[in-house]
Amino acid sequence: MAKEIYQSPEIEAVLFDSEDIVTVSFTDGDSDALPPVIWG
Amino acid sequence: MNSLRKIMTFVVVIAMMAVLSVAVSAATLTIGTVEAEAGDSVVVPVTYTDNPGTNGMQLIFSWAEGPTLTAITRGQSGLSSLDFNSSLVTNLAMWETEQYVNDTTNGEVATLTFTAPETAGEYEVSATLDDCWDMDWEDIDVTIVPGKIVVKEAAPAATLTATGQNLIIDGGVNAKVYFDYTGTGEVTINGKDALKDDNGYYAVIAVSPKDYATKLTFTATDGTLTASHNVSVQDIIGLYIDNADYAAEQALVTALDTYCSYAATYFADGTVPTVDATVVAATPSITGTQTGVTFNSTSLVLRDKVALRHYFNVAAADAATYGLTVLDDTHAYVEYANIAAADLANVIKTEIGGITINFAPLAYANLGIDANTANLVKALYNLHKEAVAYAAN
Repeated sequence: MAKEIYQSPEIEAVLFDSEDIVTVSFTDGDSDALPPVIWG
Repeated sequence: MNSLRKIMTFVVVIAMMAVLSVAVSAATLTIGTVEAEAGDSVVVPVTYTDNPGTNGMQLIFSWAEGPTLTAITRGQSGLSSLDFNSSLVTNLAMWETEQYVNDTTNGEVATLTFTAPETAGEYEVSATLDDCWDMDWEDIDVTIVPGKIVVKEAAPAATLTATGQNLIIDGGVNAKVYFDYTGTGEVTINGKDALKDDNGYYAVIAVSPKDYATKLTFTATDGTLTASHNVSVQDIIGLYIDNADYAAEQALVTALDTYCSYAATYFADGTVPTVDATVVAATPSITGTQTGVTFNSTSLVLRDKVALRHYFNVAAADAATYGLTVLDDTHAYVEYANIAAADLANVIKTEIGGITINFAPLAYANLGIDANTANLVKALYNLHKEAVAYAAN
């Protein structure tokens, strides 16, 4: 079966209103955090 | 002189006959023109005007092949005092009375109900005058103006289909999916009003880099039609890598792919391949003091865009004073979210009371972190460099 290829209109490199982006989190919010580092 | 008088008398008589002839030939029967969709039931009005006084009329309707006549009914206004009869067998309509009267009303005398044919086109509807008379049984001439049924081309059925997908390279990890919709309704995607640009309706879903291989479902609907498309950010990245049509984006998309794949392994098992890079970022600084608050540590949160966090040792009751988010009874943090890749080297200034911190997110790489974490941040640094270069072109 042939792979279905969709049109790719254009890559965009524009500032984008973040309110228009729906952010999907598959885990709780802090699961993307790197370890806190003590410094200074 | 006597012969001249005879000639004048003859001329006057001829002229009077001509005037009388015009006076009895005045009525007009107009059959309406209406538009219809294929297969629709459509009503064609028949109007009688310039009525000189009518005691009876009989018509036989005719029409081009295609429409089907389903009813002949009395009109709303014309010839209102006469009795009306019609026949679908002979396509006949008749107005008459046994009274010695002339009806002088004008207006709609009948309506013809047709079922429009399936084929678009114009179909003439006309009538033949069988008879029309006044109360003295004198014939009335009637000019018949045909009408027509105009069957329009049927509008194509609305369609809703996924047509495209791409990335928004604004320093985040996201998938943008387009839908083409030919109807007139309101389109929603995943329950929100769809956005629209020149390429069609769309929605954008952003994910954390570690989730870039997770399939995302975009479901568009107008309430009747529904279309869905499942795709991951990794799938879309794959459309661009080694695609000659996007030569200018190769370095940036490749860096995004590397960063996301390394984030996936880092958060899965803690490992990241070695990344050969030296992260260049301003050395962070912290100055000043604040009673009841001491600096604790710094972290990056790798969401679709990066967030910078500074943690503080502070009583929960005091955290709100400094706009901090409480973590537990003795810790709170300040967070700067949605930092685009191109902006990760920009120094962010934080002031908590008398404490001032200057910190560029990428400086995190130089804080003595473990090798795997350092390699992941180096991959992020490489994405940052490509984002800066891409924005400059």
